[in-house]
Amino acid sequence: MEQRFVSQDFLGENSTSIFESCRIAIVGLSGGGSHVAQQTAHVGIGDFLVIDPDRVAERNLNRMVWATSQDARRKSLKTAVISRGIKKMNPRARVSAVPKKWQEAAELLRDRHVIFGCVDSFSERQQIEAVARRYVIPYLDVGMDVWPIQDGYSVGGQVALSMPGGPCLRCLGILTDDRLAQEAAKYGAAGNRPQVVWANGVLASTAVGVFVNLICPWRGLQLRGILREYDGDSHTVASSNKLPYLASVRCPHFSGLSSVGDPFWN
Amino acid sequence: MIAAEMLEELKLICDGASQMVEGGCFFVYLPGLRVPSASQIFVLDALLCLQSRDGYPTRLFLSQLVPGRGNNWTQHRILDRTWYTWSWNNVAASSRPTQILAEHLRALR
Amino acid sequence: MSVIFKIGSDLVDVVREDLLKPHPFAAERVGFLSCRPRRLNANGLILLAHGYHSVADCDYVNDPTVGAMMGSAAIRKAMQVALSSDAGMFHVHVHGHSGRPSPSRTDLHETARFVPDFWNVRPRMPHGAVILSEDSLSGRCWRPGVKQPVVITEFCVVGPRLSWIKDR
Repeated sequence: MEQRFVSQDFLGENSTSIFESCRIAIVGLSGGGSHVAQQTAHVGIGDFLVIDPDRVAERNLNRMVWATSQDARRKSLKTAVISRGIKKMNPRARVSAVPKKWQEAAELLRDRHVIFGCVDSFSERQQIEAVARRYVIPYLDVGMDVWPIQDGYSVGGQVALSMPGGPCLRCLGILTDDRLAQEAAKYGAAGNRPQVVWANGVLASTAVGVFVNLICPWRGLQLRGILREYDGDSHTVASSNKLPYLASVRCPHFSGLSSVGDPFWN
Repeated sequence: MIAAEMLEELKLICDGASQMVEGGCFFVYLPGLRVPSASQIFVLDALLCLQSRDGYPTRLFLSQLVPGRGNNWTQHRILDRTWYTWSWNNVAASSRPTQILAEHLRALR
Repeated sequence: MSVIFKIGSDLVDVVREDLLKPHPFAAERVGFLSCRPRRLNANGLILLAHGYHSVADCDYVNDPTVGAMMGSAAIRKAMQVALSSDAGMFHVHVHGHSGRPSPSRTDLHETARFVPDFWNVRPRMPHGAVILSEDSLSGRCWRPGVKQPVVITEFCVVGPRLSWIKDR
């Protein structure tokens, strides 16, 4: 085993080759996505598809890993910043950078082993999950939020694993008609959502841990459905109490022949 | 599930109309739909959603956007294809399917 | 050319359980996986297995010269599945060893004979053959209208443990 990975040799003697041959996609490269990219590069993932249409702005510097003041001045593409960071960490990594909306390059997601969704919008989550389900790809969704309460603000978020045979984001209560409707009603007036590096870091780390356990389990197999809820006020991450109920429920939203493969093949 | 009679009604306008489903949301696929706009008729594929989605009681998605018509076009990935739709709300699901379709298309005339 | 075959781990378990059951006279059992395809890029294909269809005991032919011989009823039933599910059909059987399974001469001869017949019902679908070993998979795919099959270059098993096997 290469020296750089000896501290993770408890993941198994084949773990290095598994990580090296693993193909992941990270959609959204700002707060959560940049942490995911950094950690998966450290772990030794060999093939990255990184997607984000945006350029680095001053307001991203409070949380986007690898982004510098120079990147903000130059308005560097976020994909370029993340590609640079991954390659510095692991020059052998294969990185495909797509500086577009992911819908414009969705076909590139099809051969991925795992997709990380680090996007702000519920509608985007809904669409990415549908693609992942169609191509039988485990989807890890990372979301963070700050909302005003009576005496200040509350920080929170969640990490969800949506995969075939398990509950989807609707089953887990992350996607709801109300949330999607509220989001649609705000079109054109979304503004800047509050985001902070430590909360993004906790959530991204949790997602990467779930991901590594999926491909190199170190202690038994985890569930098909995972929902870890982050309470940023008490600094805790806990498994959602919805899961024991969902374990016996078959997802009604993605089932049947039409949910898999190319619906327009013929 | 889309009622058979609703599908049959839409086949009068588009004979290739068929039901498709993704993520628990049902769509009517309308291949080669004629979309009149100003002085031109576009022939496009369309997805008509007759149920509430993203805060719209019904919605029409097109395989390409219609230039110069419609406001706030957005891009959506549905059934592993890219579709375009515009901001045109409050077309009630209680109307007949052909009326719903006509009301959505009215925005593009 | 890249051909990726994806299958849920629960479906693999169903396949193994059926194929390892004893048969009254056949030395081994066979079945079919129904799959939906998608183009990967200009040159590649993804095959997504969504169902397993066992060959009934009564649909085997007693032929001691081979491990298992399907009768015409088995093929007919598999064709019916292809038609009703709009699926590509992949014949599947087990080799009882560990490591990458290689098709025998009989496997190659027989599958070349009957797999293209599925184009009679689903001419635009890819069809093929898959072999499971104790810990690995291999297979070949006949692309629509192309007589020579291609090797399936990667199998990906999706479940609480996600794993993939690349053809070397």
